[in-house]
Amino acid sequence: MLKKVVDKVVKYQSILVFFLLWEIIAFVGVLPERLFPSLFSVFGVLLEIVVSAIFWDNLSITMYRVIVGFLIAAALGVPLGLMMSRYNFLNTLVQPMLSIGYPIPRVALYPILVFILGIGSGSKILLITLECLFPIVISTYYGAMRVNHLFIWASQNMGANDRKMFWKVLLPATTPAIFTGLRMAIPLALIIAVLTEMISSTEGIGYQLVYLSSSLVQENVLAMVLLIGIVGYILSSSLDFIQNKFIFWK
Amino acid sequence: MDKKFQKIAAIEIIVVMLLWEGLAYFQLIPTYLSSPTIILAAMWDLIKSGEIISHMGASLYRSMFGFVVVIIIGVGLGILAGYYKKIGNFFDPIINAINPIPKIALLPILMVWFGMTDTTRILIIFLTAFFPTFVATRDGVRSMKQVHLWAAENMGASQLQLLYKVVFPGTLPKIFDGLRVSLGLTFVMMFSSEIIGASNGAGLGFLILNADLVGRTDIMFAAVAFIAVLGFIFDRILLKVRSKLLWWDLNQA
Repeated sequence: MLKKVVDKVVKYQSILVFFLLWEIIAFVGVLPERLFPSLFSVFGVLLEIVVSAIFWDNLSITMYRVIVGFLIAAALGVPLGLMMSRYNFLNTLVQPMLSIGYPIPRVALYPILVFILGIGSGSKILLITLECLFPIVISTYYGAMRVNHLFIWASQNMGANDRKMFWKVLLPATTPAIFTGLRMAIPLALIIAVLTEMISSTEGIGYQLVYLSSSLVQENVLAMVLLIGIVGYILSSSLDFIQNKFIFWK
Repeated sequence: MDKKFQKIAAIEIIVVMLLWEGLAYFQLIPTYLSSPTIILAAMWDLIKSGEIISHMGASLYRSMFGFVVVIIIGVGLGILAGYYKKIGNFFDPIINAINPIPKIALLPILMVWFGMTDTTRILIIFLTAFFPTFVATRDGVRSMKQVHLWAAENMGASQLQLLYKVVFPGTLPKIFDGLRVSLGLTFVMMFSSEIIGASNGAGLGFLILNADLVGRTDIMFAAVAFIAVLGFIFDRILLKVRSKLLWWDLNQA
């Protein structure tokens, strides 16, 4: 029992060191307390924020944007990637667009999207979709290209028609690659949601962050950053959970 | 293959531009969506007046400063963390804890600590772009073939030679994968750190913000086009450098 605790402490020592250093700096008072609060007071504020209704309202709005944007990107990206791997014509049409669009910072389009779709959820969801589409399409495409030809030949040999081959062979064999793309996309979705809410919004956790920071009380801001980090962690691990359910053979 | 790709890409862009121009000409889309000719005129105006040079210079200074620091610290720390188990084990939990936080959320904190200066912007660019490079480098070192290390050790390579002559070149493909992601993030953060906060100083983000305030969508589109071109050019430069350095790596991006 004691050994387990010691092992845990040794494993997570860097977090402890970070925590201690932070507390020492805060305690010695090199920086004014308003700028560099002790982490204990940050946790106190964090609990206060978590029990407030405002936080949950904002969180649900941000989650709505993240999840809708992400799902649209997945619903468009996965079939597109799969079809690109099967139909050469589509591939030659889409591939150049992808390789040109990939290095371009698409976030820069946001102010223009606000002009078109307004300041509400529409512009944010569209930008999230746009940003998530790239990793999903690219990794689905490469995953589908790498499906072992023997599997396809074998299924064709055993008389599978196109539809059956797609559902029973191609899709399951590509699932791991699809999830790689989705796992890359979900943090992006949250980043874009928070970012766009910080730039211009009247609701959402990004807005709450900016709102709290305008009071210049650093405890509030740090607590909010921690909360956003926790949300990101939960999002990623719930996707991992779904992945383990789907890809049971790995 | 590549030539054909370029041709198709050029045709596609031209078709989209013509479509846009046509829609704007017959006023089928609202006027704030501008049109390619108006945007090109706005771009030309910005270039002619020299205004763009100060904006682009300021933006590039921030993003490239951040990116160079990422190359040095990210790759260096990544190799150390991947090669020395002790260092790796020490850093892993804290990296895993900070990685999922959208780093842009730290911007308000940094703004209070360092003011609305270039320091803040470069720091946020560095913080965001650091992680992909670090993680890719670390995992690259860890997935190196043990045989190569043994061979080098057997032939009497010192610790430093081992790192410099075997581990670093062996990880280079992975490092470039990480750097490419980081470079993209650099530009995203350049734009974001300029557009969040006050609208003074120089930079492409400020240009967009100021144009937004006065409703000049043509300038906004022009600035977006400049950012897009910069992002594209620097990505191509990175790929060129990669293919120069990694002529032995068949799996080229």
